[in-house]
Amino acid sequence: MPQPASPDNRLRTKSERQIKRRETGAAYLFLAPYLTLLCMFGVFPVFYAFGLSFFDTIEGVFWGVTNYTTVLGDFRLPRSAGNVLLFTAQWVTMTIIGVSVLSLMLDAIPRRLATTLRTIFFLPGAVISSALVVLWLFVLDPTVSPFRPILHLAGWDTLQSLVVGLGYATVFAIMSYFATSGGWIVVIGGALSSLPTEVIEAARVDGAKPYQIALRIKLPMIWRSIVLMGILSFAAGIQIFVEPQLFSLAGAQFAQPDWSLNQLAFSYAFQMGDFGASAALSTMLVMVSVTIALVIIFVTKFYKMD
Amino acid sequence: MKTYKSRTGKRVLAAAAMLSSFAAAALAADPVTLTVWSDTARLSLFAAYDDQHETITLNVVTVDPKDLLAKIQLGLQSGAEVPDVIFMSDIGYTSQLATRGSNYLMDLTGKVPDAKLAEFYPNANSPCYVNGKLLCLRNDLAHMIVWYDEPLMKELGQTVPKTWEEFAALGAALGPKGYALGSAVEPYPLISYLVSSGCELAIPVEGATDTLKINATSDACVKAATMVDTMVANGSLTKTGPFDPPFVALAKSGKVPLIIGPTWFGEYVIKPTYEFKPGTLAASVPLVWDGQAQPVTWSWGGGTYGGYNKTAHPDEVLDLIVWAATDVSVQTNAVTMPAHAPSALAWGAKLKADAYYANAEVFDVEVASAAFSHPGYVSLRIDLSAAIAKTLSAAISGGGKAVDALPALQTELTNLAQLNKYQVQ
Repeated sequence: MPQPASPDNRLRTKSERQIKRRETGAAYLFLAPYLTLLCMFGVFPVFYAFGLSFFDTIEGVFWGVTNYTTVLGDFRLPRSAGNVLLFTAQWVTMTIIGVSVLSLMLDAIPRRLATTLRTIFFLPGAVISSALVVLWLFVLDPTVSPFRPILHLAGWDTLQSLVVGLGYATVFAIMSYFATSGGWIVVIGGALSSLPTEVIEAARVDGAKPYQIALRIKLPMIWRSIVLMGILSFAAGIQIFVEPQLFSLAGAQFAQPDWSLNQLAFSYAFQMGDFGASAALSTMLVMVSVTIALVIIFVTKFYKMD
Repeated sequence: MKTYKSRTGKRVLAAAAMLSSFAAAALAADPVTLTVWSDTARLSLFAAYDDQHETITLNVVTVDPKDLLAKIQLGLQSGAEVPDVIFMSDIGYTSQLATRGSNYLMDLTGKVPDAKLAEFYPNANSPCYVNGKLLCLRNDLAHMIVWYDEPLMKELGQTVPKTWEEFAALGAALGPKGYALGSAVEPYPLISYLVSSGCELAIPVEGATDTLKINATSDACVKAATMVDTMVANGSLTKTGPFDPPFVALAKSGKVPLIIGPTWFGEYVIKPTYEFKPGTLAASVPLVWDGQAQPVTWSWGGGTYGGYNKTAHPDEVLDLIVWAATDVSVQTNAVTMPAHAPSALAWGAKLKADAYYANAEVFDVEVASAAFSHPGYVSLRIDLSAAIAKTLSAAISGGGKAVDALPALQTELTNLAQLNKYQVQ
């Protein structure tokens, strides 16, 4: 009779250990390219910036927290932080509500139609953000936009009046929402399709209407995906750069070179030549994102198996 | 033995002398390679220099003018390739490349012959002086003059204004009829309206290092801002920019009889975009305020040439910079009005012969107006036009008044100056 596998999880025989080692080795081999690139372009820059932020980048002398005090003393910092927070609040809210509602609705309609619609929603996300900004500048300009009737109805006859009426934060939030919601709809759709059908069937048998199923059954089961979407959107939101930077394409009177925190970091490095201050601001931004992500993960017990 | 030695010795000496003279000649004609970062319009200029000098090879790289500053900052920080000569399309780059952190520009003070410097138009090189040091040479001028449609002005029964008061009156007469005389939100024209009256937005203080006089709420500023507000109210100055579709539509339909714009406006905006008919476009000298002895006019652009202070070939770099800015034969074919007077006169012959303009006096107006260039048009580390866009333009386009936004402008400019390590008076 063949030896049964060990009753507990420990690997008793040598061959079992060898197999396990080979599997682990293969796993690392597959992960190696991604890990290399992650280290080179993700991890190393963070530590490099962290280190650089404590140095006087011109003479290479250790400067302590001088770069941080420079950044914190910048009169534009509170204004930019306010702009970014306002944008992030609007965008994350729009994303969470909009994506959840659309995904749940797509899950309730016939599969073929849902797939087609999901592809259409995804299309804006396939265009890179800088090209999208140019497209939006055209769409939002009431003098040339194809949506002229709607914009005129709201009382806006020039791009100026639209921007003044909505505010830059809302305009950027709309741009970003349409750019990223498609991708998230696909992700949440995947989460919804992996839900156990028995529970939903049982609810339907019990007489629950479609919207009750969506809100009371499906939504609580996918809360982890939605929280993940919220965290990642928040992290991306506070780093907004492309939209305000490219808004000057609409005209010099729209130029906003220091609207967001990332733009400030960019201008420290590439206008003032102060790479140390830029590194300091970047490090602070990363710290904020990581802290908030960690807080959310631990408060919601994200990785706890239920 | 002795004779043999001395004869051989003489031959050896002679051979050595010949060899060393060959070596010296070879060293003197050692091929020099300079790296030049240029924009597309100056490529032919650098190609001409390359052709004329056999021992000097120019390795010309085309760089997007907006990216130039960032690329040089990166090059200096990372120790990668830094160009020997650059063409700066934005006059602000000069002071930003002469800071402690980005110490790029070569000091040209005393190296350019005074005679050559005297050949430039008055105040043409004012953007090149930073704290008393000459750091670049000006390539072209872009001072504001008055462009107008001659037959249209006659048809409307109006004379070309010579004073700002007349300009405001023209606006009061034509604005309600749907005509526009310019934009109220484009930063550079706005700045030119303000500084013409003596408003000191951000003027360096003579004799003091890195010190700016910022007084945006003075009577002179209020006077000019009030004029702008009145003209916005009667519609003669638009709330859209001069390159925006609504304004272009106005211009194309013959509703812009007069506009204050830089010297390059005629060829690069009015002709291709506003499509004024041939034979209609004329120019007039900048406006004065009542009581001013002579006009003072701001500029919108103007490029400069600068060199690398740690280059391996400083003499060649200096020669190239001076040649590029002052060589008459190459500047004759320049795209915009040269800052070097002899070159400009040669360049102007083409303009005089151009049948597109209503008369041959356009070039004479440009030359005469060059004498009125504001000495305060200098290179600053702060972005004056961005500050104006954020405060005045935003206020005007939002339906507010420029006068009310002047204190905000004062605060913004003061803060920006202090952030960029200027002393503010």
